[in-house]
Amino acid sequence: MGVLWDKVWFDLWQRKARTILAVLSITVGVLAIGAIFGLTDQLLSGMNEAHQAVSPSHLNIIVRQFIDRDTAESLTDIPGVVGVEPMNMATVRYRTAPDAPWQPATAVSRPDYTNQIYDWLSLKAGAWPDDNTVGVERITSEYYDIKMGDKLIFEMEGTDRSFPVTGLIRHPFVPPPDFGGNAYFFFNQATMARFGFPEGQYVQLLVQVSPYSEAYARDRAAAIKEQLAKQGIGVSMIIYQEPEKHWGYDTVLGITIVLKILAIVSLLTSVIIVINTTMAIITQQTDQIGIIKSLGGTTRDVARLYLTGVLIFGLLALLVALPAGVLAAWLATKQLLFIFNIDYDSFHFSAQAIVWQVLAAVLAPLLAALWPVLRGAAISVREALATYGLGGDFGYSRVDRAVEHLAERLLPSPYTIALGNMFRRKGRLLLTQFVLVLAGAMFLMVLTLSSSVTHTLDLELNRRQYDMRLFFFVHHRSDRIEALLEDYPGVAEAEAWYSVTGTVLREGEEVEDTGGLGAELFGIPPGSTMYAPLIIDGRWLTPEDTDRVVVISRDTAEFNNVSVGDTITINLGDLGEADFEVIGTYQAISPDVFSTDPIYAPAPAVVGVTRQANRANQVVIRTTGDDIDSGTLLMQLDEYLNSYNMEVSPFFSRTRDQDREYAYNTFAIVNQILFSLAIVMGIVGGIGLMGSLSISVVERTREVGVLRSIGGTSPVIMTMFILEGVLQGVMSWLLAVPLSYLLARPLAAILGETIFKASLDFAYNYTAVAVWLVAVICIAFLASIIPAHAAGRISIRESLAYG
Amino acid sequence: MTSDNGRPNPIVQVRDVIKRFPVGDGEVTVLRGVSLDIYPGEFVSLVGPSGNGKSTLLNMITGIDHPSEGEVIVTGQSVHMMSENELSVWRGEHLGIIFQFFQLLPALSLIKNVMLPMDLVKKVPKRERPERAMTLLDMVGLADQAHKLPSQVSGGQQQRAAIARALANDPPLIVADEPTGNLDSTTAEDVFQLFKGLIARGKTMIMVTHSLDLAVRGSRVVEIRDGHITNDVPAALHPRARRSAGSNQLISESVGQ
Repeated sequence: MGVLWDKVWFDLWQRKARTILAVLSITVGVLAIGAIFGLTDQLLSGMNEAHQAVSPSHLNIIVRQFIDRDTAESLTDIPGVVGVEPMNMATVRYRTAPDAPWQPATAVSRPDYTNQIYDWLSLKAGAWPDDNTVGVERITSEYYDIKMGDKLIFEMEGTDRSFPVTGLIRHPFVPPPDFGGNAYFFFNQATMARFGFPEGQYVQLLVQVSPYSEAYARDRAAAIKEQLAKQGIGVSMIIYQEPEKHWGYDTVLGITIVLKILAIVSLLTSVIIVINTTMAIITQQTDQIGIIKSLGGTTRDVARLYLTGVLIFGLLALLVALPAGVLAAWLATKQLLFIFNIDYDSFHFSAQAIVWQVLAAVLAPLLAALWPVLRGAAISVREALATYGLGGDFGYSRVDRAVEHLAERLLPSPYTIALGNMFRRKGRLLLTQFVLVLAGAMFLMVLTLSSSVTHTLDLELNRRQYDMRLFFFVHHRSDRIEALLEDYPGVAEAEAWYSVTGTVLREGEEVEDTGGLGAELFGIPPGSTMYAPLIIDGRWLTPEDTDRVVVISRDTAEFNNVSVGDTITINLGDLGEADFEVIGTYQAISPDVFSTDPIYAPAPAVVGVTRQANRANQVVIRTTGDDIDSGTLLMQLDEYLNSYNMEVSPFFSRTRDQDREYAYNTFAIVNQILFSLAIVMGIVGGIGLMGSLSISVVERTREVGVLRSIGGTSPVIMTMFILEGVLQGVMSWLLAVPLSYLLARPLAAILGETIFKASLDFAYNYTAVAVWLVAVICIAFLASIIPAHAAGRISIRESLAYG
Repeated sequence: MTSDNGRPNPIVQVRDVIKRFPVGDGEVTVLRGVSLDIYPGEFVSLVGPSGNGKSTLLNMITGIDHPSEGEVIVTGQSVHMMSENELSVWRGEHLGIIFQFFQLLPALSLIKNVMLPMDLVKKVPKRERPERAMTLLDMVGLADQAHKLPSQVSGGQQQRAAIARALANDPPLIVADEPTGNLDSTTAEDVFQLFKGLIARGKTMIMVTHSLDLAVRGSRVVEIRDGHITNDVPAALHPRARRSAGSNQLISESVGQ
């Protein structure tokens, strides 16, 4: 390109601010691509690799009676069962000091920590637990601030016993505490015996089958159940686990798809800035294009010249975005994997993400610039050397005349020009509006999603007419529970419920398990007003329902391919098996991957099957709503019921507020990322507006001179341009509001399905509409200042010599 | 190349050119059937009042604009039939254009501005381009300013650099649109002397000017009024030349005023 190289470099260097803006705009898009694509790639593969590295069990079987190691190992006689490792897990209570409140925790005990077979625990620091020490789970240590050397008090055998924490242990499958997970502690077998688990006796079995397939694992689970049943051992739950796929993979995959779409949108906005910047350069240098062509330069020469400039923008952006993207992806992956208790300490990068970044940095700006460059390069020498007129192409269409009419009515002279100026270059207006509208729509959508989540949770919690639910470790008499609680201060009403785990059997199937966690059949007392879920099809239970009818979740219905009117068989293990007619399906809203979707049936019908009358394992409580906080009341009730030997399980016993908090935490990460992206888009929109107004200043240099010559002062001229910017901001707001209203609904549906496995109840955020109006006016104002200042400095001499 | 009558073929042939421009709902005719032949080695001055068509005629010759009717043949090429790209290549090789506002690329030093047409046309071998650019700058008296940017030199120096640039590919035809219009009289005289030197080197020169005094110092004066050529005479026979010679005074008067 010879001498023209000098021009390319000169343009880049002389117009540093413009170069920096263009490079930064591309950097934002390329960085988003690198960070998000890198994060996605590393996160998903990191989760699976970490999962595969711990020799994951395929079946996690929880039995109703203790079994010894020999019985457990004898299951390997079943063809296809290649290994069984027994273990114990229990819900316990601990506190950090004698005067501190009791906290729920999970105690885990493995027969031989140094020779684990499946679901490997790893010692991160210290030593494995012995008779007098306890190991703390690594995430528990972080979240609850329990350090090595701390002493913890555990409630065991009716007494309190203190143990020093001497080991920091990683458990590969602990639910994140942010999402409702509990504290995890590790004990040896001797200590576990004090929690009521005799040494050498186990309630949980980790099993691998071979060759693995989901269907074969289910088939072998059925065989194991059958074998155990012959020995009089009931199975209360079987958790299935894919050996290749982390349990959180599907949830994260859904979120990463949304993030990828947003990264592409972010790149798109960057590309629009490139179009704007290129148009600005071409506009500023139209006369130079004319000269080059008059000296023998062809359209190709000119196009090459400007495309080279754009390529350099892209390469400079890549220089920043590539390392930043790689680093951001690694750090974000590290942080997110840590939530899932996965270490990601050594530096990794995604080759695939780097390829995408290079393509995004090089191709996207070039493709974006192609149209303005080719259009500019094809300009004839006569057009290029002609000076800009004062009128442009404004005033010919009806729209223009309507705008002018409106401006005259709304704005004082000379600011009427500002509104007209907006519409002078409609193509550019469209591009700038595109970015600003997109930013606005995203902002409004994110806040609408957030309010929809809150609204969904509120509605769901409102359907629960109780303020808290307490679960018991064992069954108690329901009349006793209710009698004890109804006299307790702060309790308005208490209703004891009975639930039992079971398995939904599809027609024709005998004992094979269907859902990963099975099902839980709830007996709802006739006439109960404590809860009525959102019914999707059919109806909810009525006081007249005493027959064997059930209301099942939509997911359970879809999984088992049943609909209202069908009959399902529910196997309750040693408690029997019965057919129930499905009278309704409901929308289950639960972010907890470890929970099962309840099946609701009239209490008399459940009693009829189980023969367990006047029994309950949980109680729902309506409070008086007086002075006392429900969290405090829950803890008081825990103590109170404990004193009557009704031990409350802390695992699922929660108040309404705690339920909301756990559910909202699940959404918080996605919400934060979406919100950050909306802010970035707002900034990119501002940069786009700044570029667009800068071109306007150049184009209207002569017009500014004329205004000056007839008495226009710098403040008047500056105000004219700032007003134009602000009007563009307001216009984008007017467009963003209906757009966000239309788009937020399907987006809420997608995110709801991903996170809650339910459609969110849509709640448009009207406060956000007002907030964005203020924000976009501020962005537009700030973006207009530099171009307006430049316009205010133009002298008559400069303006009339221009061209 | 010569014609049958022994005279060289015209380097510029303008035949019955009409040029109309759309204005609002109608159109205005700027050139009304102009015909003109210019021969190699001539120094033709186009004069006339503003807005009467002289720059438009120059644009027809350089291919910057196309005639509405008629034909324009320059250096043997039918300029009116060429595409924009063909015109760019042709101009680079056969034409040197000098503008009123100099139009040097602000991003390039004077020497790089002069080298630019050579880079674009590639007629001069790459190795020789810097040396040739320096020779041309030396010819216009700017060798010592060669590495300065246009903004760092005066208007007269910029115009001299523009002349050097116009000569970069050694074109046979140089066209200049008001080349001294933005210069003071002393600088204008320097520039005019450079043009005279170009004629001496065998170039053909077409210059649009408002100054009759300058026009009559060329070899031929073509006067345009209302889109017609109203006067086409050897410079020496123009009344202004005779008056100047008779009174031996230089009267600075603009034709357009």
